[in-house]
Amino acid sequence: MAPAKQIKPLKNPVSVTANLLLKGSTVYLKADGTWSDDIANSAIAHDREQETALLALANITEKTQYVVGAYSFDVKIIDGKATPLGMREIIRAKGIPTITPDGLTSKPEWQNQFTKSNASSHKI
Amino acid sequence: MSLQQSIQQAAQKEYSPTAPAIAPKNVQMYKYDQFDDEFITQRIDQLRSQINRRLAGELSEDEFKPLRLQNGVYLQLHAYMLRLAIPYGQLNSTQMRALAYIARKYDKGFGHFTTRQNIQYNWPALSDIPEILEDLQKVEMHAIQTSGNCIRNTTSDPFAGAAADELTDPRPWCEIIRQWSTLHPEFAFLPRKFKIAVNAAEQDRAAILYHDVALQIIENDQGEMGFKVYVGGGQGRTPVIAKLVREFLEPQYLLSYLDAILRTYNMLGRRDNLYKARIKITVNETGVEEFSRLVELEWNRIKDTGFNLPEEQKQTIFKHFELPEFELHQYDAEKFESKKLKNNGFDYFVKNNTFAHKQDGYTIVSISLKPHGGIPGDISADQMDLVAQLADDYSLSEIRATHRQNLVLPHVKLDDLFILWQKLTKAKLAAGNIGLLTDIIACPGLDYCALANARSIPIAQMIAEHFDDMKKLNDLGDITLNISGCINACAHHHVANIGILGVDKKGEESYQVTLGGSSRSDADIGKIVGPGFSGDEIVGAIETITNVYLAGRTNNDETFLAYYRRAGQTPFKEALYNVA
Repeated sequence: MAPAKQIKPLKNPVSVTANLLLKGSTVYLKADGTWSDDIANSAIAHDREQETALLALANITEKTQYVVGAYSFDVKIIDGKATPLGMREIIRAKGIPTITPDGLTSKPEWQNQFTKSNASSHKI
Repeated sequence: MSLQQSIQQAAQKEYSPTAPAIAPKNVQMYKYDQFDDEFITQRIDQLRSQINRRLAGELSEDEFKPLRLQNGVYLQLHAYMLRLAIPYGQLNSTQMRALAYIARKYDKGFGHFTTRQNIQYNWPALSDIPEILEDLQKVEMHAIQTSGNCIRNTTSDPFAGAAADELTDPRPWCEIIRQWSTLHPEFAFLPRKFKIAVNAAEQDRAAILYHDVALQIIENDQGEMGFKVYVGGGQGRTPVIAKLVREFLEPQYLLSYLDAILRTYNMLGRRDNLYKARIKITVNETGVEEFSRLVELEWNRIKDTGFNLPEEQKQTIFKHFELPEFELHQYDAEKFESKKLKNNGFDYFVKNNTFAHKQDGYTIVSISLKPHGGIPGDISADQMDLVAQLADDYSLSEIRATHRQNLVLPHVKLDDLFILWQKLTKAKLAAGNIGLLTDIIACPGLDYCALANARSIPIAQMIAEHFDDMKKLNDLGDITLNISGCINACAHHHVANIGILGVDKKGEESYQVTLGGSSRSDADIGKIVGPGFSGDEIVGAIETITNVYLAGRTNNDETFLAYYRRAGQTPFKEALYNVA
């Protein structure tokens, strides 16, 4: 009897993301092979085998010129949905920068991730 | 609304919609001829075809990427980014209105001026790019060679042609280099990107010693003009100050000498390692003496048979840059001083945002794109239209972009300065902080850039908000502070008096501080002061650094950099890290 195949674990679960080829905006791979602009709809891989399968699925649509640059990234699961880990993916998932220049009408509610600095802690 | 209608409406002047949106009369800048127009048409058609082939699956992303990059098209975090070339930073008012139109029609109503004197749009769709380039062509602009491993936009002194301290106007030479380098077939696929800067003034306002080739225009003992040539400067992960390779180059040999430098680099430059491919590494690995010898060898072989600019063609280009006819007038000094006394804001504006013009009665005005809490280098479409109008009304329709991400009106009559300041104030463009701590260079950072490790813009905003007292800022005086979101150093953090580099430290944004850099003729590379700071701590760290300087300087005339060079890092380390 062949030994049971060892499935390599992941440090964190992962989802797969890419950019739309035409517009460049961020999208996430769903379990059915289509793409959503909402990370909450993304498929989640819990081990290497699932991750490889998701990337292979992404590769199929990448070849149809719908998306570009697919890759997997770490997520955490909250209420069964993927949420991004790390500032880069947090910013991508929001679809807009954390700051709002003149001309952008909607101000993201989460724009100030940093608290006001306490300058006195460094005064000499 | 078409581009022509938009420009007409913005300018509120007579305009025929069938006429091309030509430059305003009398602007001293290069004007396209039929050849320029035709090759740009061909280039746009070529890119449109490449985009269509990519969308049809005939080109892979690997095949398409170098093609789009050579037209300034990047794929960033949220969208494509299009970088347009502003040759040596010079714009006319019509071009600025076209930039406003593009910001409104294809973007989200704003643009971002860069440290390469260019402008970037952060939100265009790939399919819109040929149309944007067609609109740009109507105002004699393009995006060719704003990225990719080719010769990029030549940069220069933003005060060129106006500054009292310049030996001569460097712009004709920049234009000659632009024409020589645009679509140069031999140098389209170099080992890495290649940047040339030209300066002709006493002060270096273009950071030329951090370019692959730096050309300082000088006069020899016989009173003849020529170039002092430096090679191998750069920033990025390996900052290097350019090294002198030729004390004096006669101007007629400029192009053959550049050919020799580029050819030597093209032969020796490494293509096996992206991080070792710039000419600074080639010069370092080859040795500057050997590199110079090889350049001279090649140059001696081609200088009399290779390409040098025919005198007639040179004169044609120089004619485009003949100085405008300035009005000879005596400005009312008493009235001017009285307005300064009555208006603190105007007083600071005059002190920090103006520079001596070569013509009496005129001044050079810098428009800070670093308003209180603003995003360095960002400007809205409405502000662009206003700047265009102010250029028409007060600066002979001329505008410049600076490598410190500001704008310049180069030819303003002193008598017009107060009303100009009032109009800028209404548009939130009158911050009198040029050259001060809050005149921060910041790259787009992790808010936009696919390469970044940390955010730059919120850090710049927090520092600007913390240091919002103009009296204190003026007391601190001449300090440069630059913030890059990654080691690629697009915001020139290595060469700032106070540099901030954003890094990713175990998934958290962290900010490393360097001190003592300079991008001027006393060029120096900043040194890391110690462990990095979190986003919450960095403003406090900058406050500490400025307090060390204020407490330690011998008098108000000792600048931050002079103090640092005298005192070294020790007092800063002691204060920042409580090291006894």
